[in-house]
This record gives sequence, structure tokens and C-alpha cells, in this order.
Amino acid sequence: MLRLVRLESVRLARERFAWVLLGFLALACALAVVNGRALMAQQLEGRAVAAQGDASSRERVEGALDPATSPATAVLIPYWIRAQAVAPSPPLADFSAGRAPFEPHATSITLRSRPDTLFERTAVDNPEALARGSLDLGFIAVVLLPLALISLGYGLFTADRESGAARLLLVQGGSPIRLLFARSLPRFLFALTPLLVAAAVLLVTGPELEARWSAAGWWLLVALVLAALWWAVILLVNSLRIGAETAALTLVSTWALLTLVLPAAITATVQVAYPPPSRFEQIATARAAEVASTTAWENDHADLASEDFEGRLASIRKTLGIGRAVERATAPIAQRFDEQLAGQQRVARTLAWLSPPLVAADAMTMTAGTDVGRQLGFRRMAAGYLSDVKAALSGFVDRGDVMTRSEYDALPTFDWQPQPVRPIWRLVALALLAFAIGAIAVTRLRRAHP
Amino acid sequence: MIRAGALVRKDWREFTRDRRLVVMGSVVLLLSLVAIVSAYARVVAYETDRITTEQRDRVTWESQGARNPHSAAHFANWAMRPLTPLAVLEPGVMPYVGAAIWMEAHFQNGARARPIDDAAIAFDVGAFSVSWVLQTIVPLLLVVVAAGLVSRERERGTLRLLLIGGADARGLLPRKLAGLGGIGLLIIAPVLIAGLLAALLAGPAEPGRLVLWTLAHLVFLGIVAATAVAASTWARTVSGAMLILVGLWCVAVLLAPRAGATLAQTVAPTPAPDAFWSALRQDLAKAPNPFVDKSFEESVLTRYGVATVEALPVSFAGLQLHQSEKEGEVVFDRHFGQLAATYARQRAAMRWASLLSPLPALQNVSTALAGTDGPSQLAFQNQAEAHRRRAIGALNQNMVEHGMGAEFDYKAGEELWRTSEAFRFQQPPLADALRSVWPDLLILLLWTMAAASAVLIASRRLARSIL
Repeated sequence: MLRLVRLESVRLARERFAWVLLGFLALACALAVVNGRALMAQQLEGRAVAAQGDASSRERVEGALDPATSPATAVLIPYWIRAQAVAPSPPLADFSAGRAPFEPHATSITLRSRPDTLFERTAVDNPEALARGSLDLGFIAVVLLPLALISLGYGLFTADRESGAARLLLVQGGSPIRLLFARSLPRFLFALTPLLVAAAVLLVTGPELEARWSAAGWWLLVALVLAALWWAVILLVNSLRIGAETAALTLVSTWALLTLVLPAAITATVQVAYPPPSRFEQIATARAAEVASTTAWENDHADLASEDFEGRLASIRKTLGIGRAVERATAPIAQRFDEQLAGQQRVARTLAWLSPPLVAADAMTMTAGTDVGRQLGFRRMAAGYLSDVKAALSGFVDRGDVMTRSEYDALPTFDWQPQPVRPIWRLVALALLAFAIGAIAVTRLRRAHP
Repeated sequence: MIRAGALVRKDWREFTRDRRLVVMGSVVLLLSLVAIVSAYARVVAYETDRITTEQRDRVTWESQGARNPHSAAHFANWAMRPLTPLAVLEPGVMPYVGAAIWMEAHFQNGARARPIDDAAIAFDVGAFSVSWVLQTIVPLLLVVVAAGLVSRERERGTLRLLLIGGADARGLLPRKLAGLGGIGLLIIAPVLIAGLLAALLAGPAEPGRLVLWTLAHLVFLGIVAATAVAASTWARTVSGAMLILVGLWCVAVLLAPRAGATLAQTVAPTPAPDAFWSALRQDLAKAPNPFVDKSFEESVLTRYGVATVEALPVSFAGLQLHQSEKEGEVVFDRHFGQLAATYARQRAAMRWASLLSPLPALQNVSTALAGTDGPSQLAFQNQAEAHRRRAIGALNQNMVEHGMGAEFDYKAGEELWRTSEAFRFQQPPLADALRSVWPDLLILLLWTMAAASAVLIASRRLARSIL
């Protein structure tokens, strides 16, 4: 058997097409590594900047906490405080970008912040580059690698059928299964090599993050099982009594349907089934509530509103009142957003079972920490933190108290550590599917007759 | 003697007899029609929503009652971006850009409300649209159909028979191409007709843009078809041809645009959002502050020839606000200018991907004609910022002229809100759109010439190989 594998390996190494394919995959993987490293660096830099917070605002607050500060200045402390909510870095954003390029990962919270404006000044990416799509290892594993496997495997046995070699083999009592195994192993490993090398490069040169190595193990497992599933499909097609042309067409069509058409159609369906409420309506409702709450709005200049303690406190209370009124008015819309996004996520996850590549892509982004669920989780946690911080700060404003150093130190901090997600069910489902298809293919090949 | 028409008819018969291809063609057609209906509904709903909100918000603005102009400047207005009718065909960058900008005092905000923020998807293979079908799926169908056009004749041995039968060896490929063109047109004509009708129904679409958009896609698909037919002559078997062509499609459609984006980010990296806003805020904090800067007060007193602020014939607070805006504008111009320059360098870098494929060039042309490209979004942002500066300037001017003495307690009446101009986005004209993509048009022309040359070279090679 080993001799046969070695023979097939030598045959594969002599094929010019195989080396062209390897070059193509290597180039794509190199680009993915460049992209992954750049994205990871941006994610880390952004978080580092956000974690530092606004130095000038902190300096001002620290200065005002001095017991010698006049009450007229100290009353502004809750108004000046900027608390930071920073999401922990996803362990494998460089492997599967997922939502990472789009989603905010940090926000500043002040007394004036509202849930609808928490992430308002974040995106500065070039939309043209975003629209072109990202090339990461996840894209290679889900989209390009299956095509490479198809091109290496479509003619494994169908070409022999066409040439008559299969008949010769079967007449002599040879086993097509042994032959196909010997042919499969070098081809499978050949196509996977660039992906594995690229993953190793990212892991070795990437940052040390918590749970990164174990996440990478799960990610690679998903990639391997998906590749095995495609190879099982290739074997199944090879077990059919069809020519190489039909085999190639069948495999390419299946790939296009499962990898391109279904995911795009599912995305469109999800958007139609759970359309998000209007952001315009949300804006207009907030503004109408603002106008209805006050006739002299100066919530950006509490310090200018008055020189004395009472005047400034009144100004901050007015700001707070406006914010509460707007929150009340926009709460139903915010709730609809949450419901619709949760609905989208639910339907998308259900429909994804129609397309194994989508199941694998979901599993990879979950492992990488760049999936929709984690991002929605951060939004929810940030909204909860906003509520906690505002409750703490507004307490001082409502009571008319001046904040002390110990009270400042006791303010809530944002410490969200999402549990690593292990896509066990998705992995099991893909593995079972691969096994079932592979078993059917082997049974059919075992029954093959001249 | 075999006539040209006979060859085209033969290819057509083979296509219609091959149920696999007919099914694939039907699926593409169905997909396109679903994409058109959903895009039309989305664009119409968006525009209805935008117009309704603008009207409602204008009422809120005009009826805000008497208040200080600076309070109104903080309340400010929103710029909402309209969608062009051609967005039905080509969503372009619209899912990735904000549709609304708050034009408040003191700050140049970025555009908010990006559709991608409200979409629960993590695996993005492209926006489901007519342009996606024409730029991704139809080329795949064309290469699959084209794969067997010559290689199948060779595999079966009918290629030699055809030539012996009197078919012109050099004219064979152009005829095969004509046959493929006919099959392609049959699939895309209903898509184009339905798409163009939907665009016309969605709003006042410029006919020139529609015609050029259609032409650009036909040219692109022509390049794909010609390249596919030429490549079909190189392979010995149909399956080999199919895999070569699917590989080329993969590079041209899946890899090249993404490689361009990678190159762009490497050549001119976009700053991390937090770093961008943080640097901007720091520079704003460092900018001269007329509210605390004594030199500003002195310069004002000197200008008006008075000794004290109280003796000024105008509102000092109004002048401070006005100056504060001017200082901020310098910072905004620098930071947003650098960002726009980065985008421009990235666009130039992304064009290099056109060496691998005509698709990046087509995407630039298609989005520019549809008014859904990066430059048109930049135009929206620039127009909104210019409007913000005019509007805030007018409110500050009112304060300067009428707020003397009362300062922040001065209240302007509703006539001021009524006279303030509402924001109206002016889509850059067609000439500007074409000017922004002239390199891409040139690239498409070069690809057309290259594809035609490939057919000619393949024809000659075919003739030589038979003889």
C-alpha cells in the first residue's frame, strides 16, 4: 500500500498542473497571512488606544478629585468622566476575519451617552476595500481549498473509466478502493499543505493571546473536516458511472451552489425575513424627544452654563433629563433592533445547515471570536455597562453630591471575558456528513464491476 | 462547405440538449430575478423612509421654538443620503457606508447607520444583486459552457471532421464565440431588461448611466467569453478545459478583487478607527481655544476699538463660537483630508489587481455609473460638511449680530429655523463619474484588445495544429 501511495505521490509531483495549483494556493495563503497580520495589528492597536481612554479628560477628572477643588468645579466630575468599554481581542481574527473589520470593539461612556449612540464615531475603513471582500485563511479553507481539491480529484476514477483502465483493473480483480486511497492521500495533503503552513506562520508570528492555540486547534479541525467532506463528495462523484467531464461539472456546480449561491441567498432571505427597523426613524424620534424635553439645550457646556454649584448642577440635571427622555422615546426602536438582529442570527444559523460550507464558516468565526454572536454579546454588555455607569454617575447628580476619590475608584469597570466557543455540534455534523458520504462512496466503489 | 450559421446552430443545439447547462442557466435566471425584486423593494422602502424622516425632522427643526442659536447648533440637522435608482442594479459600497451624518456644532462626524452594522452575517460572499450575478455567477456559467466548445470537438475527433468538411480554421473560433455570445445573451437579456425596468421604476434614472452600465457589463462578459473560448482550444479534454477555466475564473473573480484590497491596505494602511478619532480629539484639544485664550479676546477688542467685552457692539460669545468653529475646521480638514488621500492611494493600489482580471476595473465603472462608489460617498460627506459649516456659521452669525449682552441667554425665533436651508445631496454628474474612472475604462479597453488577440492567436494555433 505504501508503495502505491509513494508511486501516486511521484506521479502527482510530475504533473505541471499540480504545481500551478500549489503556487496559486500558496499565493492566496500568503495574501491571507498579510491580511490577517494587518487586521490583527489593527485590532490590537485600536484596543490599546481605546483602553488608554481620553488622557485629557482623565487628567481633568483626577485634578478635580482633589479635596481642595471648589464644589462649583467638583460638581462637574460626573459630567467629565469617560468610562471605556473595550472588548477583549478575538483570539483568531487573523485566521477568520468574520465581523471583525466591521464591528466596533470599544466605546467611551459618559453621562450623555445613550444606547443608540454608543458606537457612533467608529468606522473609518475604506468602503471600497470592504466591498471587495476579505481574503483570509477562512475564505481559503471554505471557498478556494474545495475548488483545489475538486481539480485534483474529479478524475480520480472517472478518468480511468473513460480510458478503459478501470475495466482492466476490475477484470484483474483489483480493488478500486485501494487505488483511490493511494491516490487520495497525496492529493489531499498536497492541497492542504499551504493552508497548514500559513496557519503555522500566523500562530508563530502572531500575538500571544489567551486561548489562541486551543482556538487554532479547533479552527484547523473544522478546516480539515470540511476538506474531508469535500473529498468524500469527490469520491462519491467518482463512484458514479459518469465521465470526467460530467464529474467536473457536477462538482463545480455543487461547489458553486453550496459555497456562493446558497450563502448569498440565505443572507438576502434573512434580511427580508427580519429587516432591521429604520435607523432614520430612530434618529428622528430621538430628536423629537430632545426638542420636547427642553427649550434651552446646552448639555455640551455645563461649565459655561453657570459659574456656581447650583447653576451647574441644574444644567447637568437638565442634560440628564433630556437623555432619559430620549432613551424612553427610542427604547421601543432599540428593542426592535435587538429583536430583529437576534431573529436574523437565529434564522441565519438555521438556514446555514442547508450549506455545509456555511456551517464550517460559522464554526470558524465562532472559534476565531469574530462571529455575530460574540459581537452582539459585546453590544449587549456595553449597553449594560452604560446603564451601570450612568446609574452610578446620575446618582451623584440626582443627590447633588460631589464625588470623592474613593467613590471614583469604586465606579463600575468593564470586564467582559467571553467564554471560548467550541463548535462541537457543527464539527460533529460535518464529520458525520463526511463519514456518511464517504461510506456511500466506498460501498459503491466496492460494488463496482467491469 | 460548412456555413458559419450552421456552426452556431450546432452549438446552440448542444447547449439545449445538455440539461445540466439548461438547469444551470435557469437557476442563474431565477437568481437574478429574485435579486432584482428584492433590490427594488429595498431601494423603494429606503427612499420612502428617508423622505418621510426628512419631512418629519424638518417639522421638528422648524417648530423647536425660541432658543439660543447655539442650542440649535448643537441640536443641528442630519444629512441623509439618497439612493440612486441604479442602486437597484449595483449596491456598490452602500452596505458598507453610513447613510446619515449629524451636522452638529464643533465636530465633523462620520457617516452613521451602515447597513452592514445591522446585518447578522459573518460569511460575506457578496451582496445579492444583479451586479453580483453578472459579475460572479454569469462568468462562471459562461466558462462552464465555453469549456467544451472546442475541446469537446477535439476530444470526439469532430474538430478535424469540421475542418475537412470545409470549415474555415481561422474563422472557427469567432463563430464559436458568436454561438457562446448568443447563449449568454439569451440568459442575460431577460436579466438586463428586468433590471433596467426596475431601475427606471425606482426613480428618475439617467438613461445615459443605464446604457453605459449595460454596455460596461456586456464588454466584461465579452472579455470573459472570448478568453474562455481561446482557453478552450488549449486543453486536450473537456474536463481539463473546464478546470483551467474555473481556475481562471477563480483568480479573476474571487482572488483579484480581494488581492487588490490586500495590496491597498499594505500600500496605504487605513488608521485604526480608535487611533483616528483619538488623534483627531487630541489635535482638537491642542487647537487654540477662544473660550480660554486671552489673546483672542485682545484681538477682538483691538478690532472693534473698545476696552472691554461689555463695550463690544456684537455678542462676544458668538464671536468665540465662530472662532472655535474655524479652529476646529483646520483640524478636521487635516485629518479627514489625510483619510481621503489614503482612500485615493488605496483606490490606485486596488487598480493594480486589474493586471489579473478586468473585474476590479468593471467594479469601479459599475459603481461609479450607479452612483454607489467611494467617490460619491466622499462627495456626500464633503457636501454635508460644507453644509454643516454654512449652517453653523449662519447660526453663530445670528448670535454675533443679535446676542449682544444676553449672550447664551439670547433666544432666536422660529423664522431663523425656517430660513435655514435644508440639506440636499447633489449626486456628482455623469461627466464627473466618468472622469473618476477613466483609467478603469482604459483598462477594460486593453482587456478587450487582449481577449480579442487571444482569440486570434488561438485561431491561428488551431489552424496550424490541424494542418
